Amino acid sequence: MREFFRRLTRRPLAFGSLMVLVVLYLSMAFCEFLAPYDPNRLFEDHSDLPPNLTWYSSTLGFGPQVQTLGLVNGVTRQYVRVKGEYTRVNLLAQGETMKLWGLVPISVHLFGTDFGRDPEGKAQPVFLFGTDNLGRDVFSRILYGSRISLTIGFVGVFLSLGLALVFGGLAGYFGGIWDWIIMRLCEFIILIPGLYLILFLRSILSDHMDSGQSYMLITVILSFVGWPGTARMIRGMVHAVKRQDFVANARLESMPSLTILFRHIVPQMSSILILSVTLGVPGFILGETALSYLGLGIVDPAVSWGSMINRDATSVSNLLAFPWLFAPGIFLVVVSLAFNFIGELLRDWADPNWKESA
Amino acid sequence: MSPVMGKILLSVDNLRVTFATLPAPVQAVRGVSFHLEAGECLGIVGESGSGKSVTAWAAAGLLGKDAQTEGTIVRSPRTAMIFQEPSRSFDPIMNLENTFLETFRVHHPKTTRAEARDRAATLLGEVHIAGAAERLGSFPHQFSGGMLQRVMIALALAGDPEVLLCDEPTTALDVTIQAQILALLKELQTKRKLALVFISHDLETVAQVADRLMVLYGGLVLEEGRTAEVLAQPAHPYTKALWDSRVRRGSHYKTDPLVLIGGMPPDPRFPEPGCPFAPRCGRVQPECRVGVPPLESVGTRTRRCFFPLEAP
Repeated sequence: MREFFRRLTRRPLAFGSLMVLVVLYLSMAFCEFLAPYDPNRLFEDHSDLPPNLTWYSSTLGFGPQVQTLGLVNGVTRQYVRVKGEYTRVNLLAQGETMKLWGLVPISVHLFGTDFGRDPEGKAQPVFLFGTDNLGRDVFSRILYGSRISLTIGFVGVFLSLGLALVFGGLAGYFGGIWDWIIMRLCEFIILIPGLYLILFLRSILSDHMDSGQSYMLITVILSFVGWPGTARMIRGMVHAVKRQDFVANARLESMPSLTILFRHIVPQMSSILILSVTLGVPGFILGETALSYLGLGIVDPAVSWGSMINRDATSVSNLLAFPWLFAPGIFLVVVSLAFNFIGELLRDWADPNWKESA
Repeated sequence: MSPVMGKILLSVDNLRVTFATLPAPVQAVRGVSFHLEAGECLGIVGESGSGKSVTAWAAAGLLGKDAQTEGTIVRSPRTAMIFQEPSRSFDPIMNLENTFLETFRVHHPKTTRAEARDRAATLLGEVHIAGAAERLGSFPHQFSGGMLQRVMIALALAGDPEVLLCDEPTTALDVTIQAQILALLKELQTKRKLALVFISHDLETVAQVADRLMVLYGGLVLEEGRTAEVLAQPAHPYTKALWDSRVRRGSHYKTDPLVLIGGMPPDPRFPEPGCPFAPRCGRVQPECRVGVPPLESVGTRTRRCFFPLEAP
């Protein structure tokens, strides 16, 4: 482990990726505090508003602030800046009461304005990444959406890895007819084009379900499609390890087969398994995005990055007119790349032949 | 016969092992029998492919499903085994403490960690590992080959075995370490009254530990008897050829070539119809190629040859 951290410090890209992921997962955990608004709150007068945070004006001087924007064209949703009207953005501002993790009510947010609370009614809300066509804050939605987008990868990978470990391990260790049956099943699942299988499974299962159910369903579908490849790999490695003398010795000591399999054989592959988890996570994130993009994933009022991209960023005209709506796409790319960079580091770490030149 | 008549701890009767392969099945062992009492050491010698390891694995009940085993094997439930390559005999990601703990728990599920540490340290002391208690936290790769083989012996002793199968335990070690391991095995065998099966391709190594010697070739027993008697007066031409081809002290100072056995070991898929050694034997007669000679006992000696050397 120490060796791993030593290598991490020598790989700025991997180190940066790890930092990015830590920050993103932390903000996912505390999104009730970090997000200024409820993800489904509609700011009817501010729909399709561009990002409005600025750092300097002659009125308020330096500091985070928001310039009032006035709507000039209700059809093309064009706004113009109103001269001299600024609203200060406060740190730890009072705002809507949200329940942290659904339990602890908090009304303080990391930042916010006096919108809706000042006596003159002139204060403006702050939108870090603008708003969508219903006037919902894109930044808040990205934070809340990460609850689905960032966890589905891990849940999915662990589900499919669990399936792969059990089936691949049994096939490899017991061999014979079990091996044959399980491997033919794997090949059968691999044989079906993944997307069609996903579409088929999604369509035979009810589409009238709440966000929690559809989240679970998507995870299960994605893991079901994902496990056979890993199971094959694990089976091959179990085959190699089970012929080692220490396995023979364990059998001679009449240790139970499953103990041998999961305590002696599977741990030999831990580095490869860690690697396959890291490289598998972005696949699941993108899988969720793809499903949501096709309208079969997360649907309103639940929010995920995929559903945001599906809703707002699927037409060129929309993107040209409101480029800030592509923000969840950028988050997606960054997260996928970060997992890949870390996976690359882990691969080198797991490779015994790989020696770093001093 | 051994001096003390005891309970038979390992008995192998007419063992035949066949591996289903193509184009023809491999007949690895074609009828091997032996019986072992407490405190007795049987040496099994043979070339590569003579069936000696398969015999040991079959005796331990470790062969896979691809092996068809015939014959009866009765062994003590307390049977342990030592393997050829010490570095492969251990789970590489478990330290010694956990390895021993696990083995103790197989026999006594309620063993505590402290007890396991104590007993493991005692066992490691018994195989002469210095600072045994401090080395329990070490991983297998932190030991040298010879030390690891001694740890393996200690691990084999953890179940308090009656039978110890040693499948070429010294082959992967250099000569001085070999001598230490042999001495250790001999010592433990005497102390704990172990029934020992010692397998090697090296006749001289086996001669140092074994009371009785069994020579395997092509899956058949060619000769069996007391070690001293067999070596003093081999009855089978193969035993004699094997003994003559050993490297002698000082032979590397001489220009004389080593004595070799000409030819190749038999193909286990297509065994000879007659004596397996017939194609390489210097004393071969036409009948040797026709039928397999029967195993004949004369006094304490057993041999499988139509024309034994200076029949004892």
